[in-house]
Amino acid sequence: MPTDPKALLAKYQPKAAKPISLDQQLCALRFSPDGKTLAAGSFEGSVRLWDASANPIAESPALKGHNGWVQRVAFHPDGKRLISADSWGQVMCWPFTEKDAKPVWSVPNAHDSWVYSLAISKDGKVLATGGRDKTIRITNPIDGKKLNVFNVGEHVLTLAFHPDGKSLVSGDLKGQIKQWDLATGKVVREMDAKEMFLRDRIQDVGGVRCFEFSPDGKSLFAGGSLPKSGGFVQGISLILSFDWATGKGTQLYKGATENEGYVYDMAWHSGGFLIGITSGQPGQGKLFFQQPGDAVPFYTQAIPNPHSLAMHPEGKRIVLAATNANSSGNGRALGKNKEYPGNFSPLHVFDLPA
Amino acid sequence: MLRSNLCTPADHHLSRRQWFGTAAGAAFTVAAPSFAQTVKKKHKQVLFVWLDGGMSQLESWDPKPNTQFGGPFRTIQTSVPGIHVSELCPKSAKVMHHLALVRSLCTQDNSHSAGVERIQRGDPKNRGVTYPFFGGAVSKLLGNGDSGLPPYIWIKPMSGGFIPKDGGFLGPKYGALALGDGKPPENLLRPATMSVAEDLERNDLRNLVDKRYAERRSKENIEATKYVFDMAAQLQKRRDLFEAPFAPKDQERYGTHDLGRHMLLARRMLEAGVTFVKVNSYGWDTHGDNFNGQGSLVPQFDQAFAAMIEDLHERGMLDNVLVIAMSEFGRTPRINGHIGRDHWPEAWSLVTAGTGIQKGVVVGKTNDKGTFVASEEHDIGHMFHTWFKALGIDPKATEYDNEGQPLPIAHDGCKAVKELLL
Repeated sequence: MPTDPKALLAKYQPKAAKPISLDQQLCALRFSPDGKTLAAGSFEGSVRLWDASANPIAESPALKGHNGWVQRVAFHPDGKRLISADSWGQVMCWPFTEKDAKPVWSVPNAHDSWVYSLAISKDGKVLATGGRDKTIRITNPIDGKKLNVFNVGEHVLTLAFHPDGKSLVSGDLKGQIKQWDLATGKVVREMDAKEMFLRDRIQDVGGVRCFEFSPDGKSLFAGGSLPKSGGFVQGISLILSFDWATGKGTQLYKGATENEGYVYDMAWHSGGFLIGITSGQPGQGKLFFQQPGDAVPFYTQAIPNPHSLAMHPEGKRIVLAATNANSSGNGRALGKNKEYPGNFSPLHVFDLPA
Repeated sequence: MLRSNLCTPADHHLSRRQWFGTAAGAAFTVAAPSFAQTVKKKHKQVLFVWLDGGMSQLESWDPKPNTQFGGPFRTIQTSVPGIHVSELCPKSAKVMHHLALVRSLCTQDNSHSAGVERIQRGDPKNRGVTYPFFGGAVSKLLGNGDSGLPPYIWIKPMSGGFIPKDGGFLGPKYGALALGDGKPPENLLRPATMSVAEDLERNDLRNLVDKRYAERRSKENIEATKYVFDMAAQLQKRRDLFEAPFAPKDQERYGTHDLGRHMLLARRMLEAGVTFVKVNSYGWDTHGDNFNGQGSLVPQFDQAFAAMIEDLHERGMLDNVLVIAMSEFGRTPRINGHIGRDHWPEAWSLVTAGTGIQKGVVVGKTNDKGTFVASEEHDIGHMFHTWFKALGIDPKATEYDNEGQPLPIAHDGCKAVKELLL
C-alpha cells in the first residue's frame, strides 16, 4: 500500500544547504559506498573529488588523465576503486583514496567513441560500458581486460545490472530496452520504451537516459522524455516502470510541460520512493520525489538544469550537479572583465531526515 | 469575413496556375546588360547547401578538443596534412583536398529571422532596395545556360512553390522554384485524363487570354509571365529528372534520409545544367542537447556532402560548379544548461569548393577556445565578393541596374578573400 503522500513529505522534507559553486560543468555525480567521498565527471577531462564527511563538503585534488567529457563515474562495491569513462572512449580505474592516485588500469580505446553509460555488478565482478559505437563492452573491473562485447545496434545511453547479478539491461537512443544474459551475451528479451524516441526532420531525439531498479528487483524504472522536437529539444519528462516478471511497462511519472526535458538521473530511496531530476530548458528543471502508484510527486523543487543526482548510501543526503543561472543567450555577452564567460555546475546539497 | 494575411502551408504549394500568376503579379525590374553572355561559354553553376538554424563550427569544421568549450568529440586527420576536423565529419575529411574551410567568419546578426535573409542576400549596404538572395543574383548574372531549365531551383523539405522574394529588386523572374521534398510542382504534368489535342486547345485559349491580359499590363509583367511559362514547359519535357530512379549504390552513399535524397536530386539538377541549386536542411538550431543533436545531424550532412564532392570531382564538374555549405551563423562556444549551444555570429565556419576556389586550404583561425576570430575577420560581404570572382564575375566592375540606379552586386566595403581564390 502506498504511503500517504503528506506523511511522506512530513517525514522526508529535504533541507537545502547553500549551493557549492564550481568553476566547471559536470556530467556525473556519485557517492562512494561508505558515503565519505563524492566524485564527479567534468566537461574538462577530470574527475573531481570531495570529502563528503566534511561539513561543508571539501574538495580534494582531481584525478586527471581523461579527455573530453568524463561522462560517467561509478564506485566499485569494494569501496577502494573508482571507475570513470570519457567521451573519447577511454575507461580508467582509480585507487581514489590514495594520495596522488595513479590509475590502476586504463583502456584508452575501450570504445571507438563517446562512452555514454557505465555500470558495475553488485558483486563487483563485472563492469559494463556502453557507447556511441553501439556496443557494450564487458570488462573485468580488477584488471580492465575485455571479457566480451555485445553488439546493440544503437547508441547505448544507459546500463544497469539487475540486483540478482545475472542480467544486464541496456537502454538505447531509439527507446529500446534489452535484457542481456551475461553468460551467453545474448538478448533474453526486449522491452519497449519507443515513445522516448522521436525522429524530427533528420534528427534523432531522445532515448532512454537512465535506469534504476527497485531493491527487490521486481521493477525496472526507465527515465527519459516524450520528445516533441529536435533543435531546442522540447519534451515531457517521463519515467516508465517495467514489471520485471512480465516485462510490461506502465507510466510512473509524466511531467506537466514540454519544457521539462529528460529525466536525466534517478535514485531509489529506502523510504519507498524514487528521487529524480529533469533537465529542463535553460534555467528550468527540477528535483522530485515520486512514490510508485501516486499520480504526482509528493515533493518538487525547481533547480536550474540538474544533470546528475547522487544519493548518500544511507539516504541521508542527496547532491545534484546543476547549472548556474543565466546560462543561455545568443551572441556576444561578455563578463565584467570583458572576458567570455563559461557556465558551471553548482552542487546543490539536500539533507533528508533519516 | 476578413481574411487573415498570414500564409498557411497550403499557400506554398505550387500549381501551374499559381506559378504563372505569382510571377506576373509582382513588379519586375530590368537589370543591367546581361553579364551572362560573358561567362556563357563556361556555364558556371552553383550548389548552395543551407543548414538552417546553425551548424556548430565546434562539432564540424573548427573543433577545439580538450578545451573549456570544446565539447565531447575528438578531432580527426583529413586528407590534407595539418588540417583536422571533428570526428563527426569522417567522409568530408577524406575529400578535404577538394575543399576550402573558412574559420574566420564574423557576421552581424544573431537572430534567425533577420540572419537568414541577411546572409543569403550578402548583407550589402542599405541602398533602399531589397537585394536578391545569392541564388537570384547568380541567376541574373549567369543566366540559365543552355539547359532551358529554371536557373534557380531550391530543393527543400516540406512544401514547394515559386518563391519570388528571392529575386529581390531584380524581380520575381529571379525567384526560386522550390521543389517540396524534391518533388515536381503539383499539376505540372499534363493530367492523364487530358489528351494532347485537348492540351493544345487549352494552350490556344491561354494564349488568347494572355494577349488580352497583355494589352492592359506593363511589358515587364508580361515578360515575366512568359518566362515562367517557358520554364514550366521545359520542366514538363524533363519528367526524367523526377521519375528516373537513382542507383541503389548512390542512394546508399548519399543516405536515404531527406538530406541525402535531396542532395542526390541536386546532383541530377546540376548534371542537367541548372545554374543554381540550393539544398535546404532544417532543424540545426540545437539550443538543447546539442551534442546528441549535432551528433545526429552532422554525420548525415557529412555523408551526403562528401558523396556529392566525390561525384562532382569524378565527373569533372568541380571545374565549373561552385560549392558552398553554410548556415546563418555558428553556435556559441558556451554550453548552456540544457547542454545546448545558442547562436554565435562572432566566430564561425563554412566550407566551399569547386570552380575558382583553392583546394585543401584553411582560411582564418579562431583563438584557442574558439570564442573569437584570431585572424582577419570575414563578413558575408567578403564571401560574396569571393564567390562572384570564383564564378568569373568581377564584383568591383559589375553593377545591377535598378531602373537607372547603379547598384553594387556585393557590399562595396568588402573585398574578395584572396587566399580562397585560385
